[in-house]
Amino acid sequence: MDSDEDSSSITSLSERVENVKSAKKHPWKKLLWYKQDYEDNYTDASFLSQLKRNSTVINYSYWKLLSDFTLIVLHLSIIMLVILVFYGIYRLNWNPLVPALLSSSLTALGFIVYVITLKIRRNRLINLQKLKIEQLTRPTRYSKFNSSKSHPPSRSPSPFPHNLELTAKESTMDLERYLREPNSPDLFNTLKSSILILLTLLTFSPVLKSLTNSTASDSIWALSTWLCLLNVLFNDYSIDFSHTSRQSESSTFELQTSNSNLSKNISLSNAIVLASRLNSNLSAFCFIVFSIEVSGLFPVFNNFTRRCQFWAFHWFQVVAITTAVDFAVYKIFGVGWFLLWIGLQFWIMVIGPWHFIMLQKYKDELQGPWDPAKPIFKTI
Amino acid sequence: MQKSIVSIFWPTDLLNPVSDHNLVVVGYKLNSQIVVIDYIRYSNFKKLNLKIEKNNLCLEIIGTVNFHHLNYRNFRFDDRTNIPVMEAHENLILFKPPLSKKLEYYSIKPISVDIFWTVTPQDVLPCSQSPPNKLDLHFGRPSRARDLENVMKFINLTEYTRYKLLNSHKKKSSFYADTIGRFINWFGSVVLALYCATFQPICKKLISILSYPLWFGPETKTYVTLSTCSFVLHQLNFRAKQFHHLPKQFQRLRNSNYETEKLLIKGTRFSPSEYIKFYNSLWLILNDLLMGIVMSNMLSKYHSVLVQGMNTLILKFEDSLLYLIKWLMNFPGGFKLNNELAEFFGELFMWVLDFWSEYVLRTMMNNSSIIIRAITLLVKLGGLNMLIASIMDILDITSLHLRCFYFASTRVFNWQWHIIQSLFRLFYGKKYNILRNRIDSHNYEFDQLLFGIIIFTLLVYLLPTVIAFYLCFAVGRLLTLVLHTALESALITLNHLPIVVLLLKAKHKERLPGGVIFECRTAVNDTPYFQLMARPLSLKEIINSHIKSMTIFNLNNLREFQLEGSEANIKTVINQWNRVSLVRVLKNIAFGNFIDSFDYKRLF
Repeated sequence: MDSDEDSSSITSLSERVENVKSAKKHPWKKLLWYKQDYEDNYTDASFLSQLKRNSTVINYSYWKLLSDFTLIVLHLSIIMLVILVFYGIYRLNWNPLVPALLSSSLTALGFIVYVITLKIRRNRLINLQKLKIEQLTRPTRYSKFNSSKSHPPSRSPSPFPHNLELTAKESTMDLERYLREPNSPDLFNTLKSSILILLTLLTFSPVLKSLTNSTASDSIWALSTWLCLLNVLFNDYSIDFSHTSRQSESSTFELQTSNSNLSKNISLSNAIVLASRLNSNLSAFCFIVFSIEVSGLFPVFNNFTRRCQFWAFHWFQVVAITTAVDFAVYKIFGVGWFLLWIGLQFWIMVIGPWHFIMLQKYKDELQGPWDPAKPIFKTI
Repeated sequence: MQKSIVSIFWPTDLLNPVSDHNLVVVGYKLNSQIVVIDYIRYSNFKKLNLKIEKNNLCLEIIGTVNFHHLNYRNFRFDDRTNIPVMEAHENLILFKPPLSKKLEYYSIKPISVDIFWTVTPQDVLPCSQSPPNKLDLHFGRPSRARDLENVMKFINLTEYTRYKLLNSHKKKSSFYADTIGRFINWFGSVVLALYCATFQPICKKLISILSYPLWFGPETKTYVTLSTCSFVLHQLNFRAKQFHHLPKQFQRLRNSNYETEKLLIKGTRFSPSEYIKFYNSLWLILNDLLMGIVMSNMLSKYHSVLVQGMNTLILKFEDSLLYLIKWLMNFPGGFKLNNELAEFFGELFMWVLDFWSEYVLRTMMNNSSIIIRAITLLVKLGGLNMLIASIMDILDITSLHLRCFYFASTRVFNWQWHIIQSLFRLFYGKKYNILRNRIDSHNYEFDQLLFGIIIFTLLVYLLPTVIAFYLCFAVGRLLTLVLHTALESALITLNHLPIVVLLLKAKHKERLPGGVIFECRTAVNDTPYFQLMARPLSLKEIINSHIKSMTIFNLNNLREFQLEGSEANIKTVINQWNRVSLVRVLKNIAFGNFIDSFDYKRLF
């Protein structure tokens, strides 16, 4: 309004008279098609009334960020684990069967856990659906039914008095979240494809072994380094399915499944490139199997544990793997490399979140009616 | 009173008559143009019947010279410049009367150069009518251009009219010349009849044998005939076709000689294309045969040298190929290829090479003396083109294995390149959608991903080896292609050069009218006048016209090899010619498609 008055003081007398007139006229409306008695460059005081600042900014808690950043450390540790095993087979003449067998048995164990958990959750989902159907079909008998069975769905249109022991768990996992979960994999198909892949790897292992025979080792190390860096950069850490769900989760879920393949592909090709330096068919085969299981299947499993909110199990995985890798680095590469490695981990886990929080104060986001409208999706 | 502008066309040989007789100027009167044809003595004038022909062409009296008449104007001549003095509203345009004996004439549009026997179909050429012409259809052509065409018609008639005028008052012709002309005519007919009776059926038989469709190639959608198998047979077929069409061309030439004058009066465009066609084919055949005789003598003279040269050339070729493959197997140019794959490829190619040199080239080298003798005989009978054709046939046979290598390595490269492309899409989580013809994102299963990545990495590492082999053989193919194309163009030049047109261009430009020019000149006494001159066809126009007619010829030949339903159009011909363009060849090499020359045996 100030600027308006300034300009009116500068303008000539006739215009000032018009301004006075306009004050009596209809108030200005923000409608382009509506012919009004105002100048084209007229700006009303109500123009910025709908301005919002920092509407999407959240206050992060340091511990939440730290737990998210540990995922990066976990990923780095997995890459390091592959490198360590390669170094062991290539330089230290480890028996290649040992890591392969170890990882295979762990994978089999994880697979069993995965299948059983999914089965249980599916059953629970079916029960929930039944319940909901009954509730919809027989709304009059609902209260009776509810008291007897004690499985109230949290998204019921009118929140009933929740009772009993399961409500705390059930409230976080409602029907829709169950629906988005993958089915438990078909055992026969999984067996078939895994056998197929193993056999192909076996037949290809002589080719793989001699693939880069004529290339110098240095260029292979350089290539492998670049692939590892790209792997770290392109990995989808899928930090966002934690307990504090802040945005609409359906969209993030879709995104993370479609994006997460690139880093896996890069890590696989890294494994193949490294395996081509090994000197026997068996070691090449074993190394590739090991790295498929570690860098391809383990992240899937870890995502699964986090999605199912098995936090203790997740933390056990993180701590076990990072400490094991730390120890192995200390054993194999010596103290200097170990300190460097620990320093890197510390930097990421402790300094990184702190720096991130420090940067939040510079955030200045404007949002107003000029922004494109955001569509609001109705959930099922 | 303002008089409308009148242009008077005055022949240059009628400037300032020296005689003091009373002369009448006769000519044609058109709307605002007057074409002066001749003087007639006033004494003769009265006997003369001015209506020479019935079809509304009548000579009129334009004016008088040396005497005055009540009805007609009197022309005076300037003494210094010998130019008739004009009034203010009259344009004087001088022209040199075209000599119809020398086949000179004026034409507004350039004539077309066509040395082939095929008749030009009107619908073939895509833009025969340019947009401005189409506009003319709506608004009507300016009458001035049509007038000018009429004027040109009458100017071209000058000689004829004069001849008729002369005849009409001097009824006398030389008996001697007439008999000779008749005799020549009669002799020509006898030769033509004999030729048609004996030689033409043989040619027809030969053509039908050589172009009998043996089988139908489904990929190229063309028939395979004997003439498409070998260059020598194709050349034989072509020569037979030439001989077959010769009498027809000769007949047309004679017809056009008879009809020329009538055609001129009717106004249809006389074109020297008939005699150009006939003499051109005759010239090319004779030229070829004569050069062939000279060449065959040379060949038989240097027989032993040629045999030796051929043998050493074949041996050297084989050695260099062997050397090339061995070089490729052992780190070519310092590039570190995959040892195993390179060894596999190299041994494969070396095996084929051994087989080829053992069974084909060995027999060829043993019989090289016979081969060269056969070529000498062919050249003696068939002309110089037979030499080129047989060289190309031999080249095709000796480089067949190179072609096979190229074929194999291109297939491998193309296949591998396509797989790498689609697997790279898998690498970043995309997939080609055939239904929508675009790339969509796709959620691959883990085992699919695993498979894809293993094969992708393998193929990427094997790609340099494949590329090295592919590039080497592609370059080899390119070299043979260059040689092939050079020989083919030599063959085209010797078979289809419009040599008569080029010679006419050098010798007598007026026979190739490409339009008219009006040049503004000033006489000595500063009276301006125009000079009408024929613009001869420029070299560029000749070449353009020739290329146009050659394209149509190609199209007609291409259609002979195709099914009735699938009509080739002008684009197919242009595509064929574009195959040898550098950009196309490089593109094909880069994408792993086959490179090929234009199909000479089907186009010509």
